[in-house]
Amino acid sequence: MPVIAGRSGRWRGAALGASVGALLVCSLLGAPAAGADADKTGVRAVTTQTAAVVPGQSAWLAVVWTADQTVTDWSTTVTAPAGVTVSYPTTRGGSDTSLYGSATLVGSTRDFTAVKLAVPYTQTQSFSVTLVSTYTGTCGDNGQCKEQGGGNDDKVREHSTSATVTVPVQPAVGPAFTQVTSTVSVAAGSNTYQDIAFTGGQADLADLTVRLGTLPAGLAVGYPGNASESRLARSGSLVGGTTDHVAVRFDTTGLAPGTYPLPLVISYTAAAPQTVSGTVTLVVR
Amino acid sequence: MSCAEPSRHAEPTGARRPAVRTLLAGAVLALVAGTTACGAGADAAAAPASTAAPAGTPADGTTRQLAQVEFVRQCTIAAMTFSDEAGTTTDLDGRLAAAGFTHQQWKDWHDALAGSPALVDQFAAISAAGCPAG
Repeated sequence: MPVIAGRSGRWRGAALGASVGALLVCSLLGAPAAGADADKTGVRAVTTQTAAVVPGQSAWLAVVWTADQTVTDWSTTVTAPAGVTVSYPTTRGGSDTSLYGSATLVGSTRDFTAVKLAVPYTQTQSFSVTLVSTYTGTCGDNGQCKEQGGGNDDKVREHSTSATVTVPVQPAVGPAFTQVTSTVSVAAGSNTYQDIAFTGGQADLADLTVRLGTLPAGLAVGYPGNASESRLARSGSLVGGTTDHVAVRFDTTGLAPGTYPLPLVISYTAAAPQTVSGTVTLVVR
Repeated sequence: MSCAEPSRHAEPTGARRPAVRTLLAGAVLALVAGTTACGAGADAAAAPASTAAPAGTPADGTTRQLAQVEFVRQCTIAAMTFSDEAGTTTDLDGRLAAAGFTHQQWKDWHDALAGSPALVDQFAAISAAGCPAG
């Protein structure tokens, strides 16, 4: 966090009065060495605790901020415990997050920062994250403010503040996933791919694959890429709360019209690798 | 800018010709902008629409409704999780649609906050009671 480190050094220099260079710069700019950079914006986090997550979940969480004075150029970075992965919005390049509405927090209003946390299955206890926000004050020492940039005295006031927020962790409830597609219908004599959809539970399931079990005589199946099983279309993981699908090719050229319950073998990795069974009904018209 | 609002292109300098040119240009701009604003106003009257919000946007019933949607969202957003990046926008758009607004109307209102003390005061007044318990 170079911004904070730089500011820290500047404060030390001003306090000690030991740096001739710093004194010269301050004299030339006509800026008071101390006090001018005091953060009078009143920026603070409103949120002390985020929404709860479950072990193995990746989710976007929000922290609400408010301020007494308008600030601009908002940027927030987050530090989380080891094992918890932090991701930022792709719209900002992925190295920080800002406020939802814009990079400006208008005094006396609220806005929030969103960040994605991926919580490992081993994280079963609540934890804290620290958010460091940097911003530019727009108000002069007399309290008058500009819409952008420095205060009305044209001094740029770059500030930062930090907030520690609790992320509650609670046990997952409900099924690991739900099979959305229960029936696929194909024409007799066809040989086409059909989608079988799944919706994740609360936690993410890595490496989810599906294959058919024992097939009725006359039916043949295939998987994309001539693989021995089918993988999710969007990514290898079924992200909690999202829906994705696998594709299976049903060759019914040797199968009479009718209804056939077909066994599914579904494998994935949660806290540990697991294999469970499912069923899909094939209707041959 | 409202239809009756005067143009703001006065030059504080003593240079007369540039000032005249600026005034003329301003008059043209005001005419064009005024025509556009008045044309949009006819549509705006038929629906709870808030057109592009310029600096100094006045507070009214429409901005109050938008502020209420935003305040309730700010009260609840920290208690929510979203599985994908667009989830926060999906949530907002659902709230706006339920109140009869579009995302663009919300954005116009939000962008106008920084330059409109009236909108800020209105938002602060709505927020004054604090978030509902629970």
